Amino acid sequence: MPGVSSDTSGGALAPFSPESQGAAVYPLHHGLKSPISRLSISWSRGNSLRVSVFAAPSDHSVNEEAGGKVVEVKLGSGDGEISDSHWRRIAYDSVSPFALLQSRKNAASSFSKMSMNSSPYDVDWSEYSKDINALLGNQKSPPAPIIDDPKSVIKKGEEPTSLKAAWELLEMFYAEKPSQSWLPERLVDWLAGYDSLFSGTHSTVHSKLVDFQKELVNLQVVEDDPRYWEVISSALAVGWLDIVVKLLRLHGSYRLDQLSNRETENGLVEAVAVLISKMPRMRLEQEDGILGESFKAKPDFVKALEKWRAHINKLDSSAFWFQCAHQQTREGLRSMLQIMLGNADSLCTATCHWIELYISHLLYIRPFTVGLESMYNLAQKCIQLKPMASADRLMQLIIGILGENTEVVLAECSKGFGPWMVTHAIELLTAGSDHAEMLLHEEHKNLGGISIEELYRLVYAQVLSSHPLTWQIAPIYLASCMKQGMVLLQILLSKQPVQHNQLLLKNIEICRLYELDSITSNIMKIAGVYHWKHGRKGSGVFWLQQARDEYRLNRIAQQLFDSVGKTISDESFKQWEGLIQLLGSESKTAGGLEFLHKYRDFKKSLQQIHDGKTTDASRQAVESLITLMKNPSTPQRFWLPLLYDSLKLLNWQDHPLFNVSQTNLLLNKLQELSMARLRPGFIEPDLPPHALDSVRLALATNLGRAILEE
Amino acid sequence: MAITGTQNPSQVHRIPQSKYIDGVRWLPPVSAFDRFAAIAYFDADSNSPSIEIHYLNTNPQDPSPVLDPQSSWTSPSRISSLKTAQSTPQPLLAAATFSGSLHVLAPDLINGGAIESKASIEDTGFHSGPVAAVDLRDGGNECVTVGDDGRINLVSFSGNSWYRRFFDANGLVGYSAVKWASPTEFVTGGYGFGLQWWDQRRPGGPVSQFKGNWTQGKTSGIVHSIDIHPSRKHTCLAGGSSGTVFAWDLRAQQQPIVLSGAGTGEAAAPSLSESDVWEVQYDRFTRSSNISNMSSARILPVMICSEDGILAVIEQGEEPIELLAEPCAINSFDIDHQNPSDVICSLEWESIAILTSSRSSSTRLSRGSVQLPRFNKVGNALKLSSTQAISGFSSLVSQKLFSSTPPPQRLQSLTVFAAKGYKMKTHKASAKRFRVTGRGKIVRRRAGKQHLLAKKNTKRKLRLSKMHPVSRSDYDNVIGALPYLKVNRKAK
Repeated sequence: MPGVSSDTSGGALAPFSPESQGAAVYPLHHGLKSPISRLSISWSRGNSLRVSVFAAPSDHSVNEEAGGKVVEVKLGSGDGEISDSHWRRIAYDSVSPFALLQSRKNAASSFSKMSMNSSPYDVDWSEYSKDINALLGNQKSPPAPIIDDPKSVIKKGEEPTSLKAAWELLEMFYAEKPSQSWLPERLVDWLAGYDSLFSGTHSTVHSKLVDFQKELVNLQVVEDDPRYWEVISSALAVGWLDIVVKLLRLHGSYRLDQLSNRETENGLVEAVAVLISKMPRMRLEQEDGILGESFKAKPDFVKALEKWRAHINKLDSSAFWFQCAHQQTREGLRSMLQIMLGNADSLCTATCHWIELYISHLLYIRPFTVGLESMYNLAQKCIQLKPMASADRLMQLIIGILGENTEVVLAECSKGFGPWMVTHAIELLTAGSDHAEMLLHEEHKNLGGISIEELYRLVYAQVLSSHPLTWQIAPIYLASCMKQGMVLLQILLSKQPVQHNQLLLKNIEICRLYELDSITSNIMKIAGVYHWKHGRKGSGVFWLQQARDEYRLNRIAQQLFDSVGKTISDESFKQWEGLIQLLGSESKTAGGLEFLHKYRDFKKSLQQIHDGKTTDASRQAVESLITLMKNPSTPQRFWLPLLYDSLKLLNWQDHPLFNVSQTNLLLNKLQELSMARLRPGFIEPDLPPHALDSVRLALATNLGRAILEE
Repeated sequence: MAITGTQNPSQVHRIPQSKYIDGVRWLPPVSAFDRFAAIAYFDADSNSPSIEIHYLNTNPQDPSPVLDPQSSWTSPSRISSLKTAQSTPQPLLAAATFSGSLHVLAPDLINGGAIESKASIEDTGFHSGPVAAVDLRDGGNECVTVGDDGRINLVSFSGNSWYRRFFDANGLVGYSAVKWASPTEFVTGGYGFGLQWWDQRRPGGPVSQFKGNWTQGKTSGIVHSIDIHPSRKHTCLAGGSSGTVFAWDLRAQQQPIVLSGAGTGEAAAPSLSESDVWEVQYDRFTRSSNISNMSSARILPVMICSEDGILAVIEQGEEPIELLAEPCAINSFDIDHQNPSDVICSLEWESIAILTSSRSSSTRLSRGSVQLPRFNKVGNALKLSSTQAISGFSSLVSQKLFSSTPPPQRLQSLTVFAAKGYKMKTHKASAKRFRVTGRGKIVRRRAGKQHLLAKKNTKRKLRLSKMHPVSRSDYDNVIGALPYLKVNRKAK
């Protein structure tokens, strides 16, 4: 920006101190030259601040410099890995599973109240969890290349997000209770998918593999490189068997030209590869691309595991090792055997992060670990062995889950992943766990009598309603809050802007769904007044009519009549036609504007008289004049013009059109009018000065003729 | 054009976008195989509205089409109404904005879709406040805009663009929808379900007006969209608040034909939805079930989209067919004129849905829709009842139902003679002796006209030469001999 030279740093709002970690500096480019006299800060849409900068009023304000400027500052980029639009997509898509789950829960609870038996509507948490998991992004690997590159070890899939990783963790531990004994294998899979998430802060097996992959292209003899063996044993330790086997097959002894003189070596490599691919695993079902033999039942698995270990031991103590000439191969393979046998030290050296060590323990040393307590103890041990410098949010979450502490899990969710995560994770936490349910549903006095669950939902709903695109889904969350939800919903709906008809109608629609009639009419009133103020009289009247707001209709009727008095007498009357049609003939909805409708009828019949159609038209005109004069909604200032307009009727040639009582009524009105003239504040109608007299004369004549007639 | 060859009769593809969609239209194609759509976006993060031209990329292998952005044009304000029209050499696009300006764009679809601004009216006197609706005359160089401020402007952009105030209601009346009826006439819609018919040759006021007071003041609403079928210019179709879809026949001045919603008690049409109908268009794809005896007073099938997420086809006196039931609102849709089986819709939750179906089948249910059971209508939106129960359930269930149920096969009412698969044989001698009349009676020749004719008089010979119906008591015998004879036993 051109004008800012000296005080660019002065535009920073927060004093920057290197000690405070969370402080972020947002430079303001306001482009004002003169010194700033005032600053006003308010919230804008979403998480942005609106800063209004006012320049000091300078004396020489001849130049066209702006006296101030409004700048919007976006606070925080939210979650670094998930963009705003992606968050919105997540919010949209999670509405349906959430609503479905709520309705199932309600159905289940109402059913169980009715009959104490187990209900047929079993709330299906896993379906909910899967739906949410799917919307967080599916890890669809790109279509496999036709020619498989033997040197590409790691497949590049979709970038994993920690949000999905966290959700899968929760799903694993809370939604899939019955699969406890498969938990270790689930964790292995989980790590295989999300190990790259930790690469940013720590060195991990994944990052090692990625680094090695880059070098792999340049290596001529792979097995001479110590890193080759290091990477293989690391991958083996965390159980990525397919990668290990693939790497092993890159071994130089497989080459055709060397096969003959490295036969023993090749045999050993192949034996290890076969052993690895035959590793028994405790899995629910055999999946494609996952090496190892799956077992569903524990006894089978135990048997197979012992057999497998015996095979390894046999290989380990075989004499072939002495015949193997290549030293690196020999050592590398033997260390791999050690890992497979579950040597704690080699596992520790092969892994980088504590979670990797933990997984390797679960795989090779204690495959039967069941129960969160023992898992937690194991995790503590692993952390001691490989202490973390800084705690990752996922790690915190894992420790919280293993520690069986619902409050910690919630706190970590809300700290690390935001209100969306907490709101939706609570459903999982309460699944089946009575303790957690009690904790989360207990009403707290200090929270204003609401439960923790409701609190988090309210927070999430507030986040949703702060954005112009997501506010429409906030009602669904608010409505699921028993105590405060409805009140907040009413506030939310009443606060929506009314400028655009579409938005307004969407708002009204939500009110209709939740049966908030009072809010509807309030919104309509606001919209009516808004349109009225902006000169859109028709829209204003329509909305006020919809709101059945007679008070305001009467008020604006007074204003309308001002312009009626000027224009309605001439041809531009046609313009009023539309508005009068809109008002309809119902007096109830039109309020004071009802007068217009009658006035139109009167004018029409007068016009017909002028055109020559006399008999019927004159009778009609008389009738409408009388109703107009009788009607209390007819403003006083119209009385004289009305009577003056109907002079022709009063002086009707053939016979008097008004009978005695009608004439008396008109005379009374005229008398009232002349009394009112004496009062201050009377508006003199724009008529010739003799109008009153001529009307009086005509009335008197008519009265005389009417009496004679009778 | 893999769409037309697909097996599945109907497919819905939801394409998530990262911006709010203000409007969506198909662009008239320049060649037979290219499909383009114009989408008006609003990016809420950067507060920037734009119009983008997308190429609909349908890969034969991949069933879901992809929208490839071709070009983009930044609008000064959010788009309130978007219309397209066929024109040579380039199709035209008219976009009206909330700030009261009008932009006519000509995207060059052959060369990468570069958008050329053909006319732009940002005059402050054009409209005060937002332009509510715009309509572009097909082929012609003229469009009409209306607004809440009661102004009707005609914009002509052949040569240098200019506009002329056709009518100004000074805000006493507001208009919310407009549609050309003929090169000189157009229809506007506004508050209170009112419709106005205007003629360019007769300025100063509407030629004909329709008052929407058939509900006796019980409900009232705004007309959101109008459509006029090119072959039936006397009928205006309008959709608006509280699920109302009605048609105004100019020949029957004040009696509307209510197709859906807001009915007057006894004559209430089947109400599809209670929320706002955002757009109506004649569905040129759905064939009427009884097209043969369709009088000109009957309303052609109509496609509507509504706030509670329903895209449906309704026809006078028939049960509506739901094509799509979304958990969020469908704000607008457009039927491809060249390819009327394809529909593009913009959804509230920042996504676009494209409906495609095969054109070969022309039965009523050909879009593969399922006649949903009535429970779908109980709580179509995510509604909360007073007992705090969220029931997004029903609409979700209906969505699942949509997956791929094949259209029901209608059983032919054929008389099955032998169920086992072998046919009966006709008695050939009898076949030569009996035949069936048009009414289904069996007739035979009379005996006694072979010889000895000399002694028979003329009258007798004449009588014997005529066919004679077989006695009813012999019917079983004859039919038994001739199983495929099309006999009507009750024929008189």
